[in-house]
Amino acid sequence: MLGIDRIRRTCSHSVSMGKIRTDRQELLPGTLDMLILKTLSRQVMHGYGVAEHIRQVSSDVLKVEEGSLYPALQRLQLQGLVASEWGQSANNRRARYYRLTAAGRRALGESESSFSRLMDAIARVMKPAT
Amino acid sequence: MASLGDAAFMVRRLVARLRRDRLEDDLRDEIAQHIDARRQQLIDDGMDPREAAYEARRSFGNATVIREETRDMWSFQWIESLLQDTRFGARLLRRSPIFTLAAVSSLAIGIGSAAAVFSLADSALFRTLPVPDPQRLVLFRWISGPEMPFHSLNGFGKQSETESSSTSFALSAFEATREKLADQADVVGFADLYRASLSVDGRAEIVSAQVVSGDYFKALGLSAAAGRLLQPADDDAAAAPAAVISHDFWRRSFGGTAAAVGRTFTLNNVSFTIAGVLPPAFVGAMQVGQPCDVMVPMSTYQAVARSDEDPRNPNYWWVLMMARLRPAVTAAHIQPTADLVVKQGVAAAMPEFPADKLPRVRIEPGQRGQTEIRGEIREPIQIMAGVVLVVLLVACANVANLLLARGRARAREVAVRSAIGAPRARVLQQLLTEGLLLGLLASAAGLVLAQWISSALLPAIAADPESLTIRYALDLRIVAFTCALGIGCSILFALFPALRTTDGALTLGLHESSRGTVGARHRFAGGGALVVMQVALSLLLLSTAALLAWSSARLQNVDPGFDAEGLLTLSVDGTLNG
Repeated sequence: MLGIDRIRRTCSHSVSMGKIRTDRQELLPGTLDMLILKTLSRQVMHGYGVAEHIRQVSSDVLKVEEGSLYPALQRLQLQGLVASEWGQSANNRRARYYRLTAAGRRALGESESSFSRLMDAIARVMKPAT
Repeated sequence: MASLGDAAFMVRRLVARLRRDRLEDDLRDEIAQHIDARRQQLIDDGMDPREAAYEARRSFGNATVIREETRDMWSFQWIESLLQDTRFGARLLRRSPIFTLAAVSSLAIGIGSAAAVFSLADSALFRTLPVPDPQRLVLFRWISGPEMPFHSLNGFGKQSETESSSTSFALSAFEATREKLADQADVVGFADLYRASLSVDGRAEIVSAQVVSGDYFKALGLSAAAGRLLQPADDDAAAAPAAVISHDFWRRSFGGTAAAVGRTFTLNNVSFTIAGVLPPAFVGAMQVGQPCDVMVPMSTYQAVARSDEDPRNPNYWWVLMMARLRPAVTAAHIQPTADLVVKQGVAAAMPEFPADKLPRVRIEPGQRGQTEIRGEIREPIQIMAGVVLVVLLVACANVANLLLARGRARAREVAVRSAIGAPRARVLQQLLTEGLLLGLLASAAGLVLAQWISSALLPAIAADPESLTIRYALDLRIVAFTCALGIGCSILFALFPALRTTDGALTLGLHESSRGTVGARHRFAGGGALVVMQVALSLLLLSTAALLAWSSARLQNVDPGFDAEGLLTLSVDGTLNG
């Protein structure tokens, strides 16, 4: 009985060791979808392009685990907010391009406005007008 | 709008599920390209190629986990695991045939009995007449004091010290009611001819027959399966005698051919021409399980009924009345009129009848036809339902016990599954699915058994089961009921053993092998309770069965008032000679 408990504890320990300290910021929950939609609203892109764009524009501050982009893109596709098709990439390779659908554009507008309301509220609390 | 979106989401998911292999290849490609592009970028930025390959992989994260996460999105997790559990469960059941046989047969007896009783109750008590809008049909019943307001009655009458009642009326009362209520309801009359001798082409047989008024079929809303049904014009002494036959009789005696229409036969020596065939399900609105083979117009009653009574005699009450209420008319609307008609009729026909004791009329629901026999068989069916419920519970307890014993043998398997990471809910689901499999197998077997069980049960319902044609019929209602029962039972018998088997499975199961059975002692407290419940239920079953046997014996052994030992009865009816 004890033996098994010990094994479990060791496991959870190793998981916490796997986290690497970094100066980059964790994303607020739920914002990844909005970032993807916003990025795709400017132009059609493949997955790597989306990751690069978020990294460059945020000047390396936002930490997006690049892999987590793909489940998110799948989810957005299933929700009908994003559509994809295969095409030629710039260096002449087969690549999947994602684009925003009309429903995606509406969803982006909604999450943008609720996000800016949230930001305003936080800003007012943090810097009260004295 | 939201539901439309949800539906679209489900469809896309389903499509994704079907194209899963293709999607998975795509995703694998995409991820490989992403990592490659990142590596190239890093090399371009001046990183050592080997370092770059490592860094690209690191910054991407765990590709396998991401593929799995995406795959879960495409698939319907619970269906996948349900299929998996079903396959595994079926394999296990095949591997231990004795256990399977014991569990399934025990359950099948329980479920089969319940299906049989449900089927009997359904056809005897629940089912409505197979006509459109049966809720709008009503029956008329008169109730009076102990004094009889007539001289002679044909039909079901109830009489006690204080009250007598029946649904039979004088012909004049029927005609007056029909006329007075013409704006509010279609009132029709009918009467039983009981067993009559029918002869076609010199071949005679005993059939059950009824007379009906000419508007009977129109009011009920029926249409013919072949030919035409009777019309008001047929119900006239001057009209050529026409008859309709039941669908069953049509098939039995005429092979279901269209040529039957127009054939002639004699009924109690009166000649009739077949005008048409009744729709398959309709066998009249008489007592439950008393089907009718032939229906002839009411105007022929005196000739066919072989009765000494004059049907027009206001003191001979023989017409049963049924009415279809017009829209927005209720029973309360027509009651005063019918009541007045009957009171006036009695007052005119029996001037000596005390004016304050004239019968009153009650309107009763008619959607199931005449009600007297139904009232008689309700109680035996209720007792029977109680008995089969207990039989079913005992069967469930049996199977639960079997599963519990098996659960002990499977503790190790469960422990291993838990140890390699199966959550308890997942193991529970596996065990419950196995139970469900047993339950559904037993339901299928029970459906087959129910046929025999119901014919064995019939004598307990009625003293003369031959006269009742309540029969077990395999229809969608029975199948649905039986499946629901199987699923319900599965949960009942599988849940408790499954909870026990998975309870502390990890520690106990794994240690079982090294410690022998020392740890097993405290695990069976629940098993004891199960046995106690089984014994209690069996006792209950025994006493209820005794009660049922007693009540059915009472039905069959009415004391005739003389020594019936060794006597046989033989009935010869010369007047039925075709």
